[in-house]
Amino acid sequence: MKQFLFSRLLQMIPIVLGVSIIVFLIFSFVPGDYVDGMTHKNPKYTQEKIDLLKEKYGFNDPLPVRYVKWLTNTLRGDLGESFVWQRPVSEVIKVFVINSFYLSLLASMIQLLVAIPLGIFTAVRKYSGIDHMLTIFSLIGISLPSVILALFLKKIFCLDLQVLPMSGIRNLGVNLTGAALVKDMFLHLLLPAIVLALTQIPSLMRYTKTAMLEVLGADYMKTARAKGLTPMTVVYRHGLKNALIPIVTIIGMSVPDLFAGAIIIESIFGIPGVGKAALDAVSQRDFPFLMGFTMFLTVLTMVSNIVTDMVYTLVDPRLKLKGEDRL
Amino acid sequence: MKKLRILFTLMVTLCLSVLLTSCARTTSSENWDLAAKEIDIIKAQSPENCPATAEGRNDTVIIGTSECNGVFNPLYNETAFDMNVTSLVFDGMVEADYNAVPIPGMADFQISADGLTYSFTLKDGLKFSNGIPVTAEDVEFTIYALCDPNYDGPYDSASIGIAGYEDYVTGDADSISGIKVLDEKNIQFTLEKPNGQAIWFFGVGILSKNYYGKDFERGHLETIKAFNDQPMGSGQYKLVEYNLGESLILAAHDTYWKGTPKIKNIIFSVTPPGQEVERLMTGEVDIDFPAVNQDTVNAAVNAGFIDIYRYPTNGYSYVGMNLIDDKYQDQKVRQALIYGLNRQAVVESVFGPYANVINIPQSRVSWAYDEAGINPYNFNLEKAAALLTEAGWEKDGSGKLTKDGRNFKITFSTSEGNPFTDVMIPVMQEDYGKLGIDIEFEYLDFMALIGKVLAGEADMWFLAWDLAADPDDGSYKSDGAQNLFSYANPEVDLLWEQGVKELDRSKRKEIYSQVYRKLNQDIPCIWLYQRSDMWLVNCRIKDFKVSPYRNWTYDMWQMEIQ
Repeated sequence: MKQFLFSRLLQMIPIVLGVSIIVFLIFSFVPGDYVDGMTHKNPKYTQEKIDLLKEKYGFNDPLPVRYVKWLTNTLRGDLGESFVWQRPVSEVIKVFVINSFYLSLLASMIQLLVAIPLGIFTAVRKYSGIDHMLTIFSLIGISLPSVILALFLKKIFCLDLQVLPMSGIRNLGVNLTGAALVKDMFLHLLLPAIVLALTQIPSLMRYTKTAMLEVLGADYMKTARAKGLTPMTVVYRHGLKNALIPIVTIIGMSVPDLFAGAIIIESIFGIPGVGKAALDAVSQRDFPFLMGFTMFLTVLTMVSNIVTDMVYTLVDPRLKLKGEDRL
Repeated sequence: MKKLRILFTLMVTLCLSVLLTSCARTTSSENWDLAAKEIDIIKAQSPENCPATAEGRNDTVIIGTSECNGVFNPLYNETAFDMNVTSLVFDGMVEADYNAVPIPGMADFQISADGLTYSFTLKDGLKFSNGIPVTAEDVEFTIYALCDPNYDGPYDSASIGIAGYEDYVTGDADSISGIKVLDEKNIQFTLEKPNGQAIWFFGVGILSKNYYGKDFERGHLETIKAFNDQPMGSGQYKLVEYNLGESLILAAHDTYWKGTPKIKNIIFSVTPPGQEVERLMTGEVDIDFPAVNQDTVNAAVNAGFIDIYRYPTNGYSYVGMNLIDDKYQDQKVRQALIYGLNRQAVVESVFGPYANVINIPQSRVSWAYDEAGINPYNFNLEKAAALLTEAGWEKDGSGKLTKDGRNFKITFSTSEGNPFTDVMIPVMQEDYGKLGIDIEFEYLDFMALIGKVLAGEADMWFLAWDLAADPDDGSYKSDGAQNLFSYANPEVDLLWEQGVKELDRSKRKEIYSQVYRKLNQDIPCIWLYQRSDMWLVNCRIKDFKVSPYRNWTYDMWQMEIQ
């Protein structure tokens, strides 16, 4: 196990470096820069001042110099200062990622609680009326843009019924603590989380169904049933456990999404999340923030892959991690 | 990402327009006068509709804002949000009144007859929100920071011409000879030559030397910038809490010299784009600033409890031409291009009654605005064709305009998803096509467009300018830093120079009238329109006052909740 971890972590280094070079290059090819955007509308900016600003932001250095500067600072733990937010990138990422995380966590919980039982149900009751209905619903869910759904739900619940707040993550001007704060945030995040979950439920549901269908036809299921076990025990103890491997992969791969933010939902519901912040950063060319955030996601993705591989062994004892002694 | 964003904006616009139009009852356009010089106000008709959520906030006003990132420092603020916050937290010595006339703020001022000496006397009872009195030393400190050799904010200190500024910047002198603190309340500035817009420079929000200047020495502005997110001033409110990207909370400054503000708390809260009216309707916010079009106006009127304050935006949009290119160098060609564009029709179809076509680069509510002798360049294809022929451009066999074996070819750059250019481009393409002009369009992301224009690589483009309270404008001076068109007319340069030296307002106006007449004849760019800005205010807030030159934040302390 230790050897596995060590070699995988070692492999991460060249990959992360490679990604950082590619991402840095891509950003440097994007036309326009932050200073142009800031000064273009204000006739008071003189050329000297614009030059001073560009020098200060380091836009005049050649590309390799800029990359090496960025890399050495990053290795020292300093991701630089965000142009737009005028404070350290790590601080900005922290503030926004937490908000996005709350939203995505709630959405994922809804997603798991709805999609997996429904997936199992439709697998067991294959070709039933409910199965067909859910298939149709999930197809609609996959194809319907979340914007439409979000605005529709918002009109009903926030504007017409006025039972849920319009936007933001909490009520402003009241200092809530403890349970009251949790409840307030829950109410604010409920609608966006539902929309986010609704767009993700169909695919997870169909993955679960497919995985279950494969397992349900297996010989050991017949054996289990022949032993006289109840259908519930057969499906959940014997079936689900074996069907979990592909599902764990999907869930594992979606862990970084918890921190990546949801651009559209965050924008519509006015949630100060990292997706919206990243979009603003792109349109204003806030490269320190974008670099920092992209690299954060890169590392997160790789770590969650390693963790997923390790979880496999828990789900399926037949799988052994490379380097682990065979029993 | 880009595609996503366009799709997103499109969807939101689509859905919102469906939501909004479905509840529109009557149009109120007859209340709005297209040429009105004042601010148009529509008062709420049924205040009883005000939602309970809003009614429950007795001592707090929530203001919707499109952004919540900022630099809360009067020396460095750039965005509308920053300016709103800083003007609430800081006071300056000079303010603009509703008509862009400089009036005393924290200090009474006197300008000597030769226009060279500016004397300021601070008012009584001025205090920073930490309890320390404001003195002339704080003013001195603030102006020194603006005149610092490393100052990189929006103020153009060099153009003010304070005596001794050059020597201080180059390091030849340790102080600026033109800045003299007389005593605790009096400070005097001497200029090298008269400058009509210098008075605005002295209107900058005053920083506390004690708070901001502890470690400051020449060249080290970072010691001041370190406080950018912890502002402290002598203004109406003080900062309580700032949540990045989400909200900003201010509380009344009890010892404010004009009187304690009547509303105790102000909260700025981020409004998702396009949902300003909805948030007002649910009572989540009290004041917001939506885009002006028939739909938002209708929705606000129908809500019944929303007061509407609409006024002309202090800025304008234009089609720029790279005048270095041979084809644009003939004045007649530029006139032909403005005659050949049906500006009126496009502006009306996009903004309805809420924008008007402009023919000089000045707001119609400015004191410097003068229509006398201005050619309106009404759409006229025959005239455009005739002007092109006069300029030596002839149609060849295939109907293409040529001169000296070269075709008249334009590449027009614009940003994606702009509602105005979306309508203008087909119109332009058709009418310019009739003239024999070959016009191509390229769509760029907004920052890429700016980059291309600033690099001088764009041929023709669509952008907008902000206007200031003072009419002096660098975009049309041959050596102006922001002369994106590379426009050069020595006569106009001379007039600009005279204009900024003149202190008498009526004489200045005469000079600028001449400038505008010359520009109007020269067509350095194709001016398009001046649109409207609009504040929507829950009618429970009383005494809301706004003008294009004086933001409502300056009179916030007088506002009341009913």
